[in-house]
Amino acid sequence: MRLGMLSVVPAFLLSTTSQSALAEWGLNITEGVTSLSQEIYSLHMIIFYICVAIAVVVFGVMLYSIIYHRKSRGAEASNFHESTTVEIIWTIIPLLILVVMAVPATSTLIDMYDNSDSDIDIQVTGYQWKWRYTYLNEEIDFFSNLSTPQDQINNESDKGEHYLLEVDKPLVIPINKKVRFLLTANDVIHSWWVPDLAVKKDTIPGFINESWARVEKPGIYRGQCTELCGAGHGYMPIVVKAVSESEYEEWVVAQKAESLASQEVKEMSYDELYALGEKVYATNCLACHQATGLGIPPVFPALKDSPIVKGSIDDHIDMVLNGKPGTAMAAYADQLTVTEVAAVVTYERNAWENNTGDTVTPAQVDALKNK
Amino acid sequence: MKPLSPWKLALVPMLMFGFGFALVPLYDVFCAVTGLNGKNFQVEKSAVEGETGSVVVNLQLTADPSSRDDWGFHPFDKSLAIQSGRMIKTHYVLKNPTNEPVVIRAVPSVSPGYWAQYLVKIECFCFNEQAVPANGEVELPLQVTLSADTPEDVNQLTLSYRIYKQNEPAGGES
Amino acid sequence: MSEATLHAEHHHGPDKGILRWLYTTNHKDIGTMYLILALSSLLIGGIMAFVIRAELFEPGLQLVDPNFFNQMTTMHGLIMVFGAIMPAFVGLANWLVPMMIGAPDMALPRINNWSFWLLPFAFGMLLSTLFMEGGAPNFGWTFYAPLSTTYAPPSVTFFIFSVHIMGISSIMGAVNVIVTIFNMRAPGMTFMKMPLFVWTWLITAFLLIAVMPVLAGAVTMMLMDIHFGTSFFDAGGGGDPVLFQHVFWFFGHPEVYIMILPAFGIVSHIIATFSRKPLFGYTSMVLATASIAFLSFIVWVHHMFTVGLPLAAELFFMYSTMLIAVPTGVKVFNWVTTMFKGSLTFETPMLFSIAFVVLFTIGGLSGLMLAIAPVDFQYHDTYFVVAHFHYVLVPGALFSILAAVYYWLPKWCGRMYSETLGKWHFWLSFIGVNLTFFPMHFIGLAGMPRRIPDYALQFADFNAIVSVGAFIFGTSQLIFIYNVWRTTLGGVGEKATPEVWDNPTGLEWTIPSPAPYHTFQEPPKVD
Repeated sequence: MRLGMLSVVPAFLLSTTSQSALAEWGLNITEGVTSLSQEIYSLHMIIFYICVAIAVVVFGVMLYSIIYHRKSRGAEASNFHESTTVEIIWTIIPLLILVVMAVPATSTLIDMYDNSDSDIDIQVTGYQWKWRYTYLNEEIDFFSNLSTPQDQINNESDKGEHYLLEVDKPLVIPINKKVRFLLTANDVIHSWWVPDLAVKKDTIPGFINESWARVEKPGIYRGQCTELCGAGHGYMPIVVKAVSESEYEEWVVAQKAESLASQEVKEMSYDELYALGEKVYATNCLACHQATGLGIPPVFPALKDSPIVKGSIDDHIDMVLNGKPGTAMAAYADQLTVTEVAAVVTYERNAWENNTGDTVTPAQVDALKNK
Repeated sequence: MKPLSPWKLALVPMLMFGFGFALVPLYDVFCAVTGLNGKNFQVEKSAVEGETGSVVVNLQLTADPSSRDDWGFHPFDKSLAIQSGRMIKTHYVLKNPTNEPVVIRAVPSVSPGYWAQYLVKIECFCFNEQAVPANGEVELPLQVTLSADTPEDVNQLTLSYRIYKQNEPAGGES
Repeated sequence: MSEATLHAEHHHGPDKGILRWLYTTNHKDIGTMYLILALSSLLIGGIMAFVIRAELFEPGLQLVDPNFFNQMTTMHGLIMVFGAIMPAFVGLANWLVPMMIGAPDMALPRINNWSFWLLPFAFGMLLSTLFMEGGAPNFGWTFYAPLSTTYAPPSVTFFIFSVHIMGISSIMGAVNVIVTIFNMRAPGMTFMKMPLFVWTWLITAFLLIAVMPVLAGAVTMMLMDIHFGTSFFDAGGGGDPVLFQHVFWFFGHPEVYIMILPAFGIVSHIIATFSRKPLFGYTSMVLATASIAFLSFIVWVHHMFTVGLPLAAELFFMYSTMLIAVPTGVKVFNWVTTMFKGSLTFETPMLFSIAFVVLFTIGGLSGLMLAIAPVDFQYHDTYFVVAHFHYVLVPGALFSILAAVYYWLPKWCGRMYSETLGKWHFWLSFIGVNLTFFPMHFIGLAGMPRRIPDYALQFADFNAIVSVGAFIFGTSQLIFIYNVWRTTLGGVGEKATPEVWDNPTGLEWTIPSPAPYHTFQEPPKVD
């Protein structure tokens, strides 16, 4: 099948590259793991072969003329320049080809718009620049951030196998269940795309969209945001982990336990807080405020020598917890645990030569949060 | 042939500039006809219970995540079965975390948009701006029904709201 | 241009120095200025493409930060569309339309001067945003709200203003072309005797006056949302961000044809000349152009298949988009049939035109694939789309412009360009362009989204090839610039005859080469 893609590739590629190497390079759309994605794949191949056939005929005639009707071969020019019959024929034949294409396309499209009852409803929300997944029937609600370390992006260490396609917390869904995605966005338009699921839908702030998938094979499926959404557009991947139903049930139970545990207020030393803070910063803050703490003014202000970071601790915590309405600064009260907030505030107050020497404890954050 | 006057021709761009703006109301009409953006639910101000139909739809009520975070905004019922012609009453809950009274506006969205036309809102807190006292918690009432002509294949609808804080109270309905 | 001879022959010669270019109302001078502006924009936009491709040469962030990368993709798109392709076609229209219809000049010469001189200021303003605090526009050339409104850098206001100025310039230019064609044709030149370049430009001009104002409306609404508290595109105030996309693509799709219809005209002339045969199916060419223009108004939603549409809308816009393949196919078949049983020679303009037909067809076929709505869910906003529109715009629109310059340059300056350099330019461009854009199909299908500054490792090999191709293609344009420079200002090359080529058709070949400063002051008689 893959060789089909090559029909129009220069012949040298064909002769020098083996089929398996081509597969590794990734030449074609995925067959995916849902019946819909497979239907789309076959439709894609049908349309592709029709296009190749048209190209072969048209370019064939052209090549023939280029070779045989050249002046240097002594070709004499004819003078014909009109034929209504021919014109009608080559209007009707393409029309018929289009009808042939439109029939399977229409039926696939109708299958996509299947709104029958779903088993699981997940609200997918696009943020600059991460995804948030809310399981509407369970008390599960979490953010999914890029987990590729910044030093890989900056070419300071070797890139991992799933460079830029890995997250800290994947979306977990059971196989053979109809999962409905309700898509929306917090700030700008994003688009949630997982090729193996054949789901791509724009997430629009203030509106909800929906899409669905019934995954047939357990596995990890990776995708990306496909609508330009600002500086971090390339850094908000999607990872979907499809597991068996029993594994899914276990995961749900574990999630609930974990969310309770995260509410605990721990005691930590300055060094522990600083180290954790650096990690939290890299995942949540770095895309805007940058590794240097210099930000991208004026939209994303610098944290180095910032009046808030160097000013009152309470104001700084408040900024992280509640954000600044009307700006790109989001509220992190529900995204980070109190320990994480304490850590990141400690980090920011001491990194980039801010050197305030402050240690912010989780208890301080907890007190402010519950005020 | 009479020569073409450039002034006459200049009318075309002027009209088209106007047309660009006319696309705004046209879009609303287009949405109402095709259900494009899930805003074309029917609004009926008087509560009339029609004949009860046989179509039962699972109506899922959700809140936008940002509104959940900022306002503790959530539906009282997560989902409801509604039968065509039968009226359903429920409410959303909203908390004002600030020490000042605020005015908010709720913007609804229905999915799938092309079925939104069958959802009839009799009373909705999204019709008007809502005043919320400082540190207050309010119940925002909602009364909906399913239109009698709902086809059999409609089985699932989602109604979601996002809360926007209004700077100053202003009149008008959505 | 050999000004000395011009002065000797015509006492109504041009002013001297910079004033000649500031005050000129001569269609040839203005055409030249448009072409120089387009070439400058091509170089600036090309440098931006170099930055993009250098960053994407390998995975990881090497040269620029993601925000600057977004500024580069945005500005590259805007400059190439509004600064290179469109002004180049207006430049060609200025030079050629009056000469082809036997008119002494454009109908509104002063408006013509003004339309041109607005542009350097519009682009100066647009480029100046690169140096502003917060940087240049970074929301893509399609500037979807709310990324381009609520979340935009402050320079967005300058961007809006510059789009307004470009729009006014385009509209005045288009009005000028229409009035010229309607009112100033030589006696006997009926509509169905007009050269195809004139026909395609007439239709393009109508598209321009119909949709540029809609773009102006879209940016005006943005301006009001940003500064005057309206909420056209903000759900919070009862607006809808998707409305922006509808208004934008209502402009945007016809805009795509604005950038390709004149190209159809150009290659129709060139293929006929070098096939030594009349163009096959003149009437059907005109009808096909008109139907493409008409269809362009009812297909815009195919840019938004994933935005969440009802089934009926997806079906309607899928079918209407597929229909465009019919008139486009007719055109391709006509060109191929024109070559069939001709007596072909392969001078540089012909090479570019043949490449145009082949590569534009590839772009057209990938367009047909993209029209299939269910599959578009896998193609949308990937490099497959980038490959598609670059195939129709670079070896499509840009190749036709290069072909046109080679074809008519001897008429403009009276000398033949260097055929050897021309062939080098062609082959390097041809190889470069395919090396750049063909692998993009694969990385797109394999799942690489567009407009990302960094990518997963499986896309690395093809991206490296693409970047190499881009550098070959970009640098080979220097050959073109040198070739044009030595032929015009350098004064090298043999003198061109009035006909230049082997028996070409059209009034422009009946006047001497170089074309005198004033032509057809007595209208020619056309039978």
